[in-house]
Amino acid sequence: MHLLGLFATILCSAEIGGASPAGACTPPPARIWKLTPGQYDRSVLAVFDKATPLQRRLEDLLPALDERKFRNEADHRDLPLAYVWQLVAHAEQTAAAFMEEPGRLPACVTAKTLASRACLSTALQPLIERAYRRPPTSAELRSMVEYARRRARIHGNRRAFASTLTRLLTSPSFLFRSEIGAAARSETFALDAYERASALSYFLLDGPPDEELRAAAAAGQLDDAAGIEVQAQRLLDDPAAALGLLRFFGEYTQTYAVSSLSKDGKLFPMFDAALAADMEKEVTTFVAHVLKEGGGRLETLLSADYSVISPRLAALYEVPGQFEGWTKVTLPADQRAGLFTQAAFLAAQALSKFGHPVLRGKFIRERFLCGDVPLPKMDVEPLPEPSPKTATSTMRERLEDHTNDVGCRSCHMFMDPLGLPLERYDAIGRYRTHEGKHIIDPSGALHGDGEPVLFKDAVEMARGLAVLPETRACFVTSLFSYTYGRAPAADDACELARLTRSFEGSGGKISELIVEMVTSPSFLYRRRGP
Amino acid sequence: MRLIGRRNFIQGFGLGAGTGLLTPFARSVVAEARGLDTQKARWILVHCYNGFGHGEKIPLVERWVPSNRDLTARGALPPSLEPLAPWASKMLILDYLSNPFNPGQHGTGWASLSVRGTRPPVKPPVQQTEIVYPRPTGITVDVLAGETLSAGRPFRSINVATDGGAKSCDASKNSVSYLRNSLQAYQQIFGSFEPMMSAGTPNDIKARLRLKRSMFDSVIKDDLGRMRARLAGREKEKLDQLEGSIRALELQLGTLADGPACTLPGQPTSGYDAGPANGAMPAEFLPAMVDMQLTALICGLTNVVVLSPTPLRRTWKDIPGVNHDQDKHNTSHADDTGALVKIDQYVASLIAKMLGALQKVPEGNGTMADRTLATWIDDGGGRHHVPRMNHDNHPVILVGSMNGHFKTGRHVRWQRGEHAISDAYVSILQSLGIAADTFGDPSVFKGPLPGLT
Repeated sequence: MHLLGLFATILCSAEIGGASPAGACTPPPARIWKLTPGQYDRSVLAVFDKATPLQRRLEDLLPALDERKFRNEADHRDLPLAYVWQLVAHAEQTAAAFMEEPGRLPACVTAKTLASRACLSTALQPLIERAYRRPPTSAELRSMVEYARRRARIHGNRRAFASTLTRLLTSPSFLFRSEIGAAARSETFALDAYERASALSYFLLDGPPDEELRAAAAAGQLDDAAGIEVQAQRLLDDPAAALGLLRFFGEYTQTYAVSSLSKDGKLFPMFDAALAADMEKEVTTFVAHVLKEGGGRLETLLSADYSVISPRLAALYEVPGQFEGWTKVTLPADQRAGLFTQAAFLAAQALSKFGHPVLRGKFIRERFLCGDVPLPKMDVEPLPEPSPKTATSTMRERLEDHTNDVGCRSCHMFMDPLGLPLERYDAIGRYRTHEGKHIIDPSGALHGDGEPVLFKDAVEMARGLAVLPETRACFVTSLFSYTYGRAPAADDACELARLTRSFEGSGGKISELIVEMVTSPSFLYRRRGP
Repeated sequence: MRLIGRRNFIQGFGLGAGTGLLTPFARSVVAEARGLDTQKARWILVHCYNGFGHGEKIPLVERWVPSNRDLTARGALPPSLEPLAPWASKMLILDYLSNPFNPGQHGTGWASLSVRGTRPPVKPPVQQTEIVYPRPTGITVDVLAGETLSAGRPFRSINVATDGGAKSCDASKNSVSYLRNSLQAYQQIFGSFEPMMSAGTPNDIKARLRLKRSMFDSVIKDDLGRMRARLAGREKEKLDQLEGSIRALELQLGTLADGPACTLPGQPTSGYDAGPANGAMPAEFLPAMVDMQLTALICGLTNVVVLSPTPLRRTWKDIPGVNHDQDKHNTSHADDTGALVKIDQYVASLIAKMLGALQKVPEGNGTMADRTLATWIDDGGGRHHVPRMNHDNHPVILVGSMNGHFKTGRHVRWQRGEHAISDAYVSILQSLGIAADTFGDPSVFKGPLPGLT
């Protein structure tokens, strides 16, 4: 479906009312949601009050980059043996480290006599509460205490207590976030206060609720939208610490794994781990700056004439002057505008030797405009690499030859004109005007149902895309997908349309969109699943 | 160290009771626990690329082809295969097999292991090396084999690579990850056992096994049960898989403790990562990775290992016996036959090492090597590397008779176009005890290779 058609469908569907308790839209189904490896790591740290260091990070076991748009899908049901294997090993190592920490164990665990129920209960209760992100039920606490005592009779207090901690970190109540309410029987129901706290926290912080959020849940302060908004505003007040939000932007722009990229050492000798790390950090620093001090608008993210850069990036961008540390600078107005022209974005959408206009254009079309580009024909030849043999032509010309077929062109017209303006940036994001001896023509176009919108270069393209309603609507859809850990379903059209209208009304203010999302019935209510 | 009988250990878990309530995955674990079909074959698949040379001098076909159809004849094996000379009587060298699916550059990625057409990448490659891997359209042969041979074991297969390229996928066309970091590989393969197996007397270890078993039991009966009671439909399936995986872990605790030869290798001291970067491949990297794969085979953690030992970018400068300051890609383009032969010899020595180690482990009336097949292929490198080649003369090396299933010690050549590499895969799968009668693109497959058994 073409972009404009997609949004027409969504807006029409917005008129259909839902049956949720507090609004017109139907809430999503109840579910449990597996922690991502990064969330798991941060949750383990929280169980032990961040005092027990992680022996290793589960997140390190993830592939550096994968093809999923967002890596937190709730419907990922796979808990394969190899992954559970890692979870158990991780839990054992963490428990062992905790047992060795001076002063952390209660006296009854270090004593030679069998630990009492009361002592174990006192020791385990806060650990379970932090692990489950809610107070344990009496049955849950009793089960853990009795487990520890029974094993202690055979294995001794210490070994039994370590095993209890391993069990805690292997428990599904730790490994999964729940969105199943408090034993409600109605068709739609509210998440309980602790589930709301977790939903908010894992979305914005990519980790478990902090102490203040847990206290707010316990005090009933999350029982209405106003209370949720207070907490959301608090967490958004420091965007640099909002890891969940920054992760969204990293995955949305696919700029989170620049360090794993390989670039041709002969062509790009300056591309090393330090520069790659700076490229990644530029995106998060820039996003945090725009959210905190730059008005917080999507338009600014996509077209700002400034960034926050390091000395290495200043050299890459050829910004004159002396820099110490990270500095906000105005970039050359004819070369840079927002995220599309940042080095991380350009390097990620490139191969090791050259920037790939088809990849770049396709990514922009799909990711920022929510366009659906059909798959190419089977076994199509790769785009010819720049080489002495191709020095007589530009990439634009080679691409035209490559797609010189009506069947190819009908799809490439939606991608290539968005990637070709970025031909003025090489595979690591350096600005250039020539390809060999040839001047690079950076013009481009956005093709839709009507007349194409023409751009003279990447800066004009970025500014044009930044103010398109389709870009804003697509951003809402992407943030929705990340927030809910799934692609929108038919039932979500109502909520998406509402959020899109609200985002338009705010002039594209991202923090307002987030508050609108987390205070909506769709975020706070669920319906019984199939 | 023999700690506890595997059968007794499993019976101690009570897995025999109530199996009707288990998910299909958990049921397969229980079947394994009862000792059904535990004598499954093992498969070592070694898969290289960029290997044919550029076609000007001596391509792979020549480097791998013997001088005599009888491989046991004196001097029959070419220099590339010399390290496998002790196995000549157990070898089969097949050639002139075709694989028409070679659209990519450098390596054909999925195509060589799936024998199917591919689709171009729709996103930037996962690891942005120069290899632009097309997307698969069907399951690869290693995954298919692993699903049967490793059923109920922790790892369907243990795949090791020396770069970031993806080569295997499952039936859902999901990429299968390859281990390429030595420290992470150790932690992934042995992390759950290492704390339990590394210290103490046999009685201590037995006690730790019992304690862990009871911990798993409590998670399943108590914690999982409580949450499951509050869920419906598809959400319950998420817990089913967690339960199945925990049950399989229980099983493997017993497996690991079962044999005298099952000793964990030492943990690598550094986490060398063979990711997409330049530089020399350290000499100790591949031997350490192969040791881990071997231990996993011997300990029953998997029955399939895949090794992709020829990195795109790393040089062979520090590899004993090779000492070549180029990567295989450039070596292949340069038609440097001398260096390519040395690289072949190094890979052959790794295969010989694995088979030699398995030969020392008793199993049944023979050794583990009797029920192990090693297969070595090189997909050639697509049109980028062999533009003048039609990919109709791929050689395949098999080592291992599979208890006499194959008539070995021979070089077998077919007519060009007579048989495809998928025909060889089906013959291999059948020798491994897998009921396969076709594989890959049906328009290419012509039937199992005749005359091998």
